[in-house]
Amino acid sequence: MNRTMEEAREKVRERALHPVHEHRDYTGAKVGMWLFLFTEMLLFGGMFLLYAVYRTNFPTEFHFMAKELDVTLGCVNTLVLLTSSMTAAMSLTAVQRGSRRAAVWLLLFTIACAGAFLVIKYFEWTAKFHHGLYPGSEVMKTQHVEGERIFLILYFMMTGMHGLHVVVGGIILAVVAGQVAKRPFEVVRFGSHQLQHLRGGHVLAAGSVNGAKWEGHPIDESVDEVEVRTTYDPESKRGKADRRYATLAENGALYWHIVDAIWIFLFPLFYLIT
Amino acid sequence: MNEEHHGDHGHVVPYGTFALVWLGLVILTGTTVVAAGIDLGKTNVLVALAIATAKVTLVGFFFMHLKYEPRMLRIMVLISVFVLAVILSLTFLDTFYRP
Repeated sequence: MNRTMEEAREKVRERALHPVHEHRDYTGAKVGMWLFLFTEMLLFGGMFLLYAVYRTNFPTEFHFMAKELDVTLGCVNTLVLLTSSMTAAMSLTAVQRGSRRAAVWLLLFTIACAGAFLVIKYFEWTAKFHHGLYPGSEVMKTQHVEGERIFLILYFMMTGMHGLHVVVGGIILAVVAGQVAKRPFEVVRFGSHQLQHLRGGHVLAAGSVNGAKWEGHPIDESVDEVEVRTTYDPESKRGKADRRYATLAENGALYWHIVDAIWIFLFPLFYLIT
Repeated sequence: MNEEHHGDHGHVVPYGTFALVWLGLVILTGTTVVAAGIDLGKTNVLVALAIATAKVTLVGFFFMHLKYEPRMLRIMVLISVFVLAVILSLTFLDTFYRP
């Protein structure tokens, strides 16, 4: 059967009939992702605009209120995100080189960093709530002036929006990791015209549970399409990653880097203005 | 066999480059924390923003592969930043002159 398949494939190649395959536009996908990232930049840019104007109007209040933030935790979070950005970038290289295991571990580490960031953020926020420091609280209304309230609102709004993006980024990276973790496979489809090369043959082996009923079946007129899916030998030590996921990995990493970039601005503007 | 249909995924950046960039980012982070502790008056903000810009540039150029991308993409990023700068500037033109 394998030899017949090889012969059939040769015939297909000879007549320059390409097997049906999905058209992928790598550049289009990448530019599309960048266009989306521009909208993210403008989204946070708008909030930074608010910050800029209000800080210009309330410099001392901002300076005073910023003391409520823990610089050490902010630093740790910054280092966590910077490291996660590095591992996300490295995971793309791993996928491009076909190092499946390295790519998956690097992605998992990145996601773990995202989790660590969120945990630290959780402790920061709950500490604030505990001290009555949240928008609209009695403490804020009675013990703090307008500029200080504005600082706090901006803090929660911007770190909150950023935190949402961290969650989304983590989910995206998890999806990427799931795809990259798959063993590479190759699909050759014979439909309509190409199928005639297979006619007269029989299905000797069918892998999937559904396919089992096709075993022994002749490839006659009742067959519309034959799809041959080859999985690389799972015993193979090389464990190659499927390079077709490089686009997905790249775009997922791009999103994560924007999340990191936004924090790079958030950190000094909120934590380091004392 | 599917490789030929991929097209060129182009630039593969070595792990070492990313590690070096990370080191640079960490150093810049330390610098900005130290600089925040020194009272420079009005220039504190500028220093912080300058360092942040340098960090984001490192992230963009290396982690996001902009250094290895076609020039048009880098130009598009600059245009986005420029639009933001215009929005900020025009806003300040308004708020600065309010009573």
